[in-house]
Amino acid sequence: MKTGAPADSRHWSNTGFEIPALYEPRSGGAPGSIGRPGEYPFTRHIYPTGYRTRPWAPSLYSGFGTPEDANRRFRYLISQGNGRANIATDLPTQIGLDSDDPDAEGEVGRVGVAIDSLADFEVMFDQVPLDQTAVSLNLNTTAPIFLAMLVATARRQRVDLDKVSGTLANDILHEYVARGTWRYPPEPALRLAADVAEYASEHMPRFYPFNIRSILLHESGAHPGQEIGFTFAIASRYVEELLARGLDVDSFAPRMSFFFGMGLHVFEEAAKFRAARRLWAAIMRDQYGARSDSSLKLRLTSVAPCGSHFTAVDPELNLVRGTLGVLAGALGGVQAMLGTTIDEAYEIPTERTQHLALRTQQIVALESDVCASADPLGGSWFVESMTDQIEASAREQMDLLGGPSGVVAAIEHGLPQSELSARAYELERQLADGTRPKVGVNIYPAKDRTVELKLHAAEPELHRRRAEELSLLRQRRDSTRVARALASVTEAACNGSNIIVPMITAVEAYATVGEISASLDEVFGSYHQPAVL
Amino acid sequence: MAKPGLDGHDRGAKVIARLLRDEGDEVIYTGIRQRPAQIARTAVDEDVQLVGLSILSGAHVPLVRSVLLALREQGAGDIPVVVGGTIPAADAEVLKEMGVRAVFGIGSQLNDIKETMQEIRES
Repeated sequence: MKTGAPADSRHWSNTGFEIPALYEPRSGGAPGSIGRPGEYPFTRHIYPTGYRTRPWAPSLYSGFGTPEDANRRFRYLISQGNGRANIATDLPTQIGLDSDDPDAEGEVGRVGVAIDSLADFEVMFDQVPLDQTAVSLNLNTTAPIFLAMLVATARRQRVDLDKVSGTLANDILHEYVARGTWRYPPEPALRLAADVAEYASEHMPRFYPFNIRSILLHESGAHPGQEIGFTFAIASRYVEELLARGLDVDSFAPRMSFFFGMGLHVFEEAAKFRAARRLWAAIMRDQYGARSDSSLKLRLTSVAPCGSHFTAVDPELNLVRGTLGVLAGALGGVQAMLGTTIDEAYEIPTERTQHLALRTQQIVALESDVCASADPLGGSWFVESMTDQIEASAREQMDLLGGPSGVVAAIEHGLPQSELSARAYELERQLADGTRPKVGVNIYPAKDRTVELKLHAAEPELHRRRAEELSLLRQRRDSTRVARALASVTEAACNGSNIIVPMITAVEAYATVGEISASLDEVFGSYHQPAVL
Repeated sequence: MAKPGLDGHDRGAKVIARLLRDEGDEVIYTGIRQRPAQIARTAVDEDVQLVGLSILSGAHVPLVRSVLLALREQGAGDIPVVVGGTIPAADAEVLKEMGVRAVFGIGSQLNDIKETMQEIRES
């Protein structure tokens, strides 16, 4: 079999360290850096018995066209005993544009459900009790509006806020680095993120107001050191925003969750999760004085693996890549894995491919011995050595961005963006020249290279229909009440009080996502991202 | 190189921009979320030889139509336009009928993209 490289060639990890052909016995990790599972620094696992008592949770992500479709899906899931509502929204909703906004042309209902007002939320959660369903919302710029909608919906259902569980991404700084659903300049956006977290930490003890998405960096080309380093610079900045408001670190740190990407270098990826746990525990304890163990534990969800490692040609082979990814996540001790379907590269998953992705995780968990003992790779000279290297690289990358105090300026200057695009280009060159083998692509090329891409067929009339619904909504509601509520939102933006309270009033008056977003534009201004390569 | 619409997935656009720059070309990258008129204005002001659009949200048909129209309105209908992204084969034909010179869908190879863009500019 071709290996893609001569036997005497040199090998480097993705993080950039040379990998020797053989690791000689060595300590691998300074004394105290490994520890026991469930104990500081949590290198080996956040729980003492690893997966024995708490296996990772498999999950799947899927978008739905309309609030009605989403509602049917949630009711089905509840009937199956799975009270989790993952909501993918379209781009206008993510950026704060109503469906009838001219800039929303062609995008309405395209990559997820379009939500313009609380009226849509009411449809989506009709007979879906919020004390029985954990709601997961991947929203950042509009996170405060959606927290307000969630609170308003809970009130209508007479569900106490301390019973509402779920996750809001609310990770706006990553959006300036990758994916780009920003609207306001980073500083006021950061303040909104802190408003969300502050409100949730006071009123919603079961809710996770941050799901910090290093996956966006991974999909943009980040190596493990960059993925951890950039993410922790950003996450530390959120911590500092909340500390500056006088919040106790142990009151909110246990409610921060992370969503990492994953590649196919099984040992390096497992080492990445080990290094990430160790570094986060040290940052939280030594930088921010967290005392509770719960604040020091890095709660990890990962994909299994990132879609950028899959190929469009010969898609069945992605099942094997997916298995390697699941193995890496299991060896790395993640708490949840989001299955990647074999058709990820070219279409919205079918029921069949979702089934395969889910069963892959179950086979690895139940038919192999990866769950038998915590941190199966602990003590491996190779893995301990890489764990140390990745941690060192992550610290360097945090410093490169100037740490939590410099990260916003670094983002405004396009530094992390440029670092990632340089690396993405390098990866693409390696694929082109064959130094990074990709079976079916640059080695053992597939005979039939044509791929039939199937996109979610957006309803052609959706844009018009949504615009009509919005027009009816605007006629139906009390316009004086809306105007007053929007003025209160603007006022809170000016005077620095928590934005969530007036936003709840605004969504309850049926002010739209676009109107509420625009009411902040007056104060925060708009953002023009420098176009850096 | 431009990204119209709301889609912010710019990895591909930047990779191609870097590739062309390495080949010695001057590349102007507009950044994300550009309105069609802005893209056409930049193309005219910078007197470009070719416009590359990258769209991964699925909104390629209306967006490309608007960019082509904006180019014509600004008297630059002769600048060749190529499109990359998640474009189904049937849509690629639609885009070509509108006047797009080449479409680079999923799985396109770096060298093929480079050569095709070279040929279009020389033709």
